[in-house]
This record gives sequence, structure tokens and C-alpha cells, in this order.
Amino acid sequence: MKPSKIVKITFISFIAIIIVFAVLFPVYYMFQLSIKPSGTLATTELELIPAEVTAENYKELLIGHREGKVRAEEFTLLADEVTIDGETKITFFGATVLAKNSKEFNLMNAELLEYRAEDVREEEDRILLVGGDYAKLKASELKAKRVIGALSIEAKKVIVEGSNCDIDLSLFRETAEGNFESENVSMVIKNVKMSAQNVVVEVENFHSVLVSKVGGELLGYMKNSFILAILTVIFTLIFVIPAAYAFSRLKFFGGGHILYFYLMFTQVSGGLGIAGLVALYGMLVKLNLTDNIYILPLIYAGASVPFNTWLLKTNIDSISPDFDEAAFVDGAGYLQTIRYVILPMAMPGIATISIFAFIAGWTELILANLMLSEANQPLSVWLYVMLQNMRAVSWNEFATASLIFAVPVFLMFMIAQKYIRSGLTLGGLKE
Amino acid sequence: MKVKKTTIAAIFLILPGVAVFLFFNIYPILNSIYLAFTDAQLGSYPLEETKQVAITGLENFRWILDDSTFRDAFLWTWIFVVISVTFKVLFGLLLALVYNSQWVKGKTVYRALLIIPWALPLLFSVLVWYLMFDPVVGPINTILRSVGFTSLPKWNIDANAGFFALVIIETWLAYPFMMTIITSALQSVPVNLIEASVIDGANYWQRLTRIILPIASRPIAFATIMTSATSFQYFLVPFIYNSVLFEDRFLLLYGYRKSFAAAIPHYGRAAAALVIALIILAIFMYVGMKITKIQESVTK
Repeated sequence: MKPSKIVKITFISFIAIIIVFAVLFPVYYMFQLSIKPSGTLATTELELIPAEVTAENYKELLIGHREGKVRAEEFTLLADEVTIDGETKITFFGATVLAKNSKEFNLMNAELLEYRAEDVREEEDRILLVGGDYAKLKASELKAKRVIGALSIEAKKVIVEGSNCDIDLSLFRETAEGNFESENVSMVIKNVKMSAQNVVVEVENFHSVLVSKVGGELLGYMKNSFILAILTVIFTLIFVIPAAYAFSRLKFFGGGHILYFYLMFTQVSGGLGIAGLVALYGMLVKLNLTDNIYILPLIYAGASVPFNTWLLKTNIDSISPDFDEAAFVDGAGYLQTIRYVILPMAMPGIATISIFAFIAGWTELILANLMLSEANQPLSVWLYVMLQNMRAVSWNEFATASLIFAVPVFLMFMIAQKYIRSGLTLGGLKE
Repeated sequence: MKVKKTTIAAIFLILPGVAVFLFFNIYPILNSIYLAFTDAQLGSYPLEETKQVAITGLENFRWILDDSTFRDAFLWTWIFVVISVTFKVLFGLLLALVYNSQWVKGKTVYRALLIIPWALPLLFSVLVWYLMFDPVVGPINTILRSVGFTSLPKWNIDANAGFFALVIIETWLAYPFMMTIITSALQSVPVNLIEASVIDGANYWQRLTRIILPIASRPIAFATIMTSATSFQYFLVPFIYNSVLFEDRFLLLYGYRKSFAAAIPHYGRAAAALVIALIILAIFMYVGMKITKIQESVTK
């Protein structure tokens, strides 16, 4: 090969790669947001590779965590690490703490181990104790909401960063400029804010203890999306399989015209759908079918009857009619022929329309947004509602939720791709 | 008269699908057309609470055509069709040419990757672009800022900047379709024709404009008509992106907001606006039908 040819190939291939990256960057950006810790946004610079990667957003949206809130005057705690924040940062390791004159503190990933209380209010995902003798909780993180009056701390090791505090530092080693360290200490510190990691807390005579589940809200919306999508698939199969068979095998008056109308309809169905929306809305209100999660799939399936019938008809056309003629000779009726002969042989086509139906049910936004109350809302509507309030939403969690919404569709589309392309030049379809 | 047995069977087999399709799709469309000639509004429709729906003839159409918001929406919809279709066709053509070039290695991989926007749900794509176009922290303005722009466009609240953003989004959404069709059109150009032109001393540009494009023009024209209809029906993207901002820019959005987002929903006027859109869509459908016929006769 001539050197000039190699240069040309390298150069043009390089441009081709750059274009692919530029065009697909938005999708990558979304993915990148979803694996960054919540609350981190590149405000001034673009980060191409995230510095810190976490699955926390996915966990928070799909599972959530338990948060505790305890109001008590006094508490004791065992903690791996206790931090006192102020001008001087003091960190204790392997600490036992007795806190007095406290008011309220919050616990992350809290678990209620033991309690003795009279007034126990238990609900789904939530337990509230009002006034009680004793409670013991475990948590990954503890944060005092206000300044604590007095803390008595015993610790295996302590590190002091800065010297502007009331602690007598004469017994400490200075490890670096302004950094002090000591082992096996016990001391009392007053009027400070504290936080701790991996703790077991005990409180006596508390005012209240509340442990509740936070996050994990995505599952409920996913469930609704799933109901809508699966029902759309079932209805679609019921409507489309017999019809596609009839259009493919039975020559009847008007069949070709209906099919042609179906094909044309698919090209303008989006606009027609909006035009019909006014009356459809009125119709559902009159029939008292608003906020009904089971009626929407029927509408979705109905709207895609033309496209799916056309698609499956093309698929059945490719099966030799000899098979169903043999079945007729054996005395089978139309429905039996469909069930035992066509169904197994048209599986690729049926799988494809099932995928389309699933995608339609999973992603529909306009009707679901218009008709469903919050309890019945699918993921698509939830994302849309979140978008209206972007300044108050964690972008990382938003990106995560969007990806959870998109990935099933993406995978299914990739499976059905072959058929979409083959049907493309016929129907001129997009989406 | 004796009806053929197969016809009866066919009717039973296609009936469930046709019935649901007629009931939930065609009937509402026809009913919307009827509503366009009535004074249906909150109070009389959907439930006749205070008064009955009365037929008012062409009153709604008169009102709509007098409404400057409607006229803006009508005009801007066409502006959008022209601009976005130009972008879509040129970008699709460019990508098809680049990824069909003999100088690019690994074409199939790139083509497979470039199809990705097609496979993503529309809602997701718009959300992605909404974040991309965020005026404060979005990557687009971040890049513009780093290049040295000082007054950055407010993509999500400025109507003109937002309109341009929508053109980019639509181009991004539609290029896989355009690219796929144009690629297969390019591949249908006979190789010996191109070789002959090379021997005759034609350069790349001459080959492209004199030989390749004329042969591939029919599928490209077909795809252009199809994608024009898509642009004209542009609704979901502006609806998600910022439905208030684009009320006077997109016909369907105008109709939607007249009935579902107005203080006093006036369904009759909304239906009138949508009927006007329907008439234009019917023309698209007719043209599409003619083109498809040509297409079929070509492929056969």
C-alpha cells in the first residue's frame, strides 16, 4: 500500500471515530452522571472520566435506605470513628461516648435493635416510638443536629488537627505542623457538634425514636410501567395474531384496502393521536374510565394495531401455505390452525410485535400523564414530573432513573432491530 | 346474496383489532372533528354540567385564525419543518457518505453504534438533551464558555435558542433513519458505473453529484417526505422540553395546550386547531401514498 493511502485511511477513519464520539456523547454524559456520587456536577469543567464511581444512585432509587431520628437528652454510643467539627477537627477512633444535653440526632442506614416503649406506632416501612425507657440502634452514620452540651469520650486513638481548642495537648505527640496524636485517652468536651461512623447508640428516657425508609421509590413506578407494558403486549397479541393471519391467507373483499389504510395511518399516527386526544379524553371522562391503569393498555394496543398487523402479516406471508392447508385437510378450523401451525412458525414476528407493544406501553407519556393519579403513575410520567422541577432534583439520581427507564427499551430494540430495518422501506417508520 | 365463507371467517378474525382501533382511535378523531364545530368548553364538555354543547358552525375556525398565537404556531411549524428537514437530510447524507467511504475502516461497527439514538426511548433522549442544554451546568454551555463565549444562550427559557435546540434534538433523533435509508440507497449504486467514472477521470465531487446522488435520489426523496411529516407532527419533544415556551411555535402543542393546559379549557377551539393540522396531515398522507406507489413500482 502506498504511504499516501495509509495517511488518508488513518485521517478519514480518525474523523469517523470523532464523529461517533461527538454524536453519542449525550448518552455517555447521562451514564456518567448516574455513576457519580449524588450532588456532584461539573459546574465549570467537563469531566470525561468520572473521578469517583459509585452505584449509590442506583441503590438509593431501587432499594433506598433506613433513616433514624432520635430525640433524647442523653445517649451513649460505641463508634469506630467520632468526629468533632469546629475550628479544630478532632477525630477519635474506637470511641465510647456519653453525651449529655443533646437534643436530636439523625442516623443513616439505621436499624432498631431493642426497645422498651409504651407508645409504639408501626406502619409500613416506618416505626415511631413516642417516649420510652430504652432503645438501642445500629447505624452507619450518626449526626447530631445541634450543639451538644457535654461529651465524655474514651478512645483508643485520637488525632487533633489544629491547636485552637481547650484540650491540654501536652501529652500529645506532634506528628506534623499543627497535627497531634495520642492513644488511650479519656476527656470531656463541651458545646460541640459531632458526627460518627459505624455506631451502636443507646438512649434512656428518650422523647421519640423514628426509623423510616427513604428512597426506593422507583420500584413502585416501575411496577406500574410494567403492568401497562405487559397488558399492552397481551392485548396486542389478541388483536393482531388472528387479523394478521386473515390478511395473509384469506382473500376477502376490502382486505387490501384496509391493509393499505393501516400502512398509511402509521405514518401520521402521531399527529392523528394528538388530534383525537381531545375527544378521547372526553370519552374516558364520560365512561368514568379516568385513572384506570387497565384501560390504557387497551388504547395503546389499539393504536398500534395497524403497524403490528402489517408487520406480522409480512412475517406470516413468508411461511408456506402448504402447512395450514395440510391442517385444513386434517379438519382443523381457523383458530386451531393459527394456534398449532402459524403460532409456532411465526414466533420471530410475534416476538417482534411483543417487543414493540412492550416498548409502547412502557414509554407512553401523554395519556398516562393526563389520565393517571399519582398512585398509578408509570416511570415515564414520574420522569416528566421530575423534569419540571430540575433545580430541586439530584441530577445524578435523575440520570440514573432515566437510564433505568431506557435500558430495557434499548435492549429490546436491539433484539428487534433486524425486523425494523426490513419493515423500514415499506412503512417509512420511525419510533 | 351469498357471502363467501372465507369473508365471514376473515371478518371474525380481524374484528377484535379493527373494533378497538376504530373505537379508541378513529372514533375520537371523528369526534374531535365534530367538536371543532361546537362551543365545547369547560362546563359543557366532557360532562354537561352547566350547559349543553351547541353547534356553532365555523365560529371556532374564525376565532383560531384570528388568534395571533395560532398564526405564529402555524408559521413556526413550517419554519421548523424547513429547517429541521434540511438539517436531517444533510446530516444523514453526510454520515451515510462518511461511513460508506472506502477510506473508513470498521464501518459496520460505527454504523451499529450510530443507530443507538434510534433505539432509545424518545423521553430519555429529550431528558438527555435537556441536561445537555442546561444553561448553567450543561455541557454545551460549558464548552461554549471554555471556547470563549461570554453571553451564553439560555436554551431552556429563551424561545429562539430553545427552538434551535429543538432542531438539533430532532436532527439527532432522526439521523439514524435518514442514514440507514441513504446508506442502502448509496449501496444500490452499481459499482461498475463508479469505476467507469473513475477511469473517465471524474473526481469525488463530480461522481457524487453527477452519478451517485441522481441514482439514489428517489429513496432520499421518499425519506425526506416521511421525515417532513414527522417534523410537522413535532409534539412530544417540545412538550417534554418546555411546553409553555413553545405553545406559539408548534401547531399540535398549541392544540394540546388550548384543551389541557388553559385556565378555561376550550375544547372546541383546540379541536379546530387540530383539524387544521389534520387537513395538512391528510395531504402528507396522500403524497406519501403516491410516493410509496412509485417506490413499490421501482422495487418490483
